[in-house]
Amino acid sequence: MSQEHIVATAYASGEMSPEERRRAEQHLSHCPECRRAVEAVRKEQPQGQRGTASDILLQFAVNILRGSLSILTPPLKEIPYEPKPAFPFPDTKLLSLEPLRVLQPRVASGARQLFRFLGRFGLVLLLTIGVLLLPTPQGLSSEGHRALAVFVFTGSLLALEPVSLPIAALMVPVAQVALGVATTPQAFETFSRPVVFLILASLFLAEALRKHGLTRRLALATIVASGGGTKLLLLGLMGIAAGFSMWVENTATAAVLIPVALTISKQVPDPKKARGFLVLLVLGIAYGASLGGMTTIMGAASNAVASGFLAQIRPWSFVDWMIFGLPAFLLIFPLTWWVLSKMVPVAVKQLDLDPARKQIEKIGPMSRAEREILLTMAVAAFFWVSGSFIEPALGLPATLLSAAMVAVIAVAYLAIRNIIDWEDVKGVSWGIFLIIGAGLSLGETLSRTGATDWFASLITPLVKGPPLFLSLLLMVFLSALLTNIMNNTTIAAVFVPILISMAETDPAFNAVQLVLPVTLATTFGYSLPSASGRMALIAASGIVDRGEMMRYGLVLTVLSSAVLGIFFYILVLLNLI
Amino acid sequence: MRILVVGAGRAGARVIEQLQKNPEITVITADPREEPQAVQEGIIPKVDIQEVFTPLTLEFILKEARPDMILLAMATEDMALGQAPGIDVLADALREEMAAISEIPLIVVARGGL
Repeated sequence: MSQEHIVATAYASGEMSPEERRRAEQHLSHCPECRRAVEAVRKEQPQGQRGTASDILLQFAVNILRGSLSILTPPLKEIPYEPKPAFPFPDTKLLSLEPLRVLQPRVASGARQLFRFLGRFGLVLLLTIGVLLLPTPQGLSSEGHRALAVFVFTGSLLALEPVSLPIAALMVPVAQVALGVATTPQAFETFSRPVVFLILASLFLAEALRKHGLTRRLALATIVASGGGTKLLLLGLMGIAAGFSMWVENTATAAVLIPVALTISKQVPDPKKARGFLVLLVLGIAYGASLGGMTTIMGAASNAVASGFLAQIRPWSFVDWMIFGLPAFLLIFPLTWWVLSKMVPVAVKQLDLDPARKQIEKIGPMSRAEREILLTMAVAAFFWVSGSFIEPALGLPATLLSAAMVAVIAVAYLAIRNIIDWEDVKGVSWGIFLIIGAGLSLGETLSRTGATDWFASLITPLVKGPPLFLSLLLMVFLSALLTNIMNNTTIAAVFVPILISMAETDPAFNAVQLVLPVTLATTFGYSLPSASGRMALIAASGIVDRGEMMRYGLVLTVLSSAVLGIFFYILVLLNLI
Repeated sequence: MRILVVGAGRAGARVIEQLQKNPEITVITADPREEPQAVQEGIIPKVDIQEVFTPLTLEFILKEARPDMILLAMATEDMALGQAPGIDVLADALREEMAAISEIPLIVVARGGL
């Protein structure tokens, strides 16, 4: 008597060899669970309608290639099964449908890569030289004109990506010095700002979570807690992605959760249904991680850059950001979940949770390291939120409990406790360190050369002219749409100094009132792979195609931007900002 | 003993080369590419199972290969997923997920570059 469960889809669709079928029938005679599964599959695929002619031919071809020819019931006749001689196993297992294939390697020939590099870099240089050759705009100094060229160089470099982003970021100081708008120390000074280290430490924390499987454990626990319903499962995964992204780098969080989504989708035997389900989960993870990043300074590189600029003009703490970021998140997150679950067609309504339960059992109880990571993060979160109050109350040295310092102390603690070591952290995506540094450096140069004031003088009439509600919506939409083609750190680096300059020259404006909505709107880059690390990641995985990304992304970008604009308008009306 | 080596790129080629020293070991290779480095170097004539290794294809590959053990020699660069930020984290997480869900002993023998 066979103890192994059968593959219901293979049995119901007549994919099995006679020997497999005989053993499957033997198993079905004593296994009610498998009988129910077969019945369910048959209900979905009624007699006489087992796929189109092309499906049958495709399956036929696939089976021939697999050397395991068994053909559907009449009009075609079953042919005896012969196992592949290369793998002569006596215990032949039952066959299943062709699996869903994702994460396929990208193929690009060397010549094509070189052409792409030269083409793209050539375009970057062409645009930069074009700006330099233009007459200096009225009201802009010659230095400001060259800074404008650096801005175009950086913007096009980061948008076109002839090289990977971190290397592109390294070219920004080179361009500044080469065009005479900054000295070498000036160009590199921003790379050592506290926000850079805050983000770097958050990457190390993300690595600790990944190394010890805490993110995966919590994701599996959430899946089980969801009861297996698709919508609740989506909510749970989005919640985990958002929850972690508040405190650790959001692309890293999404990257850790995507394989978990693949494992969950494995429970859906039909590849077409599995794909729809996977698209829903992966988009949910990406959106959830992006939205979670809204809430804190360390949640996104653009937040870190904006905070870096705000801290130059006024006291600006971790809590100051959260006061606005958290309520905005609480409004937009449920909306995103609801709209996404309505938009993406999914044939699966309920999922078998046994595999997830088994995985949790297999992992065993939480280890000492996992408990310490959780505790460390909870303590760090406490100090991130309350550090600015505790520090003066206890008479501690100034900035000892600043956000960056707390993050670095947390990482140091985990290293002392041997929970992470240098081998672990040296493998993280250090590139973000360069991207934030370059973003801040560009912003500083634009401010120093007067280019931001010139930009501000151009934009002020546009923003001041229409009613505040429309201005806010316009800025938020512009930022959200631009972030699809331009790196969000660059947007923050360019626009934040301009907005600050507007606020400083015109008392009608408040810097926070302008900077926060524009920066938070960079979260909603959902439509193109170039929009954010999360979207680039899911595009690279091959799970979601460009059309789907664009379609679902645009709807959510428009809705989320509208809600964000209205939220800030209400804050202004209520004098809360 | 049947050992499935997943990844026949730079890391996989070295692993296969070493395993071939023991004639008692049957080496089966899986790689999504037609001509990975192990084929180019003549270490193996062709890849046995041309397939990408994910939780979704795991069962399929195991049914084809029937291994006693899996060596995951799929370095991030061999996955050729591009340069998106976070790809290395995704690759690491994927390797760990495979190790966690595989019922057959699976040892990760390559992570990042090499």
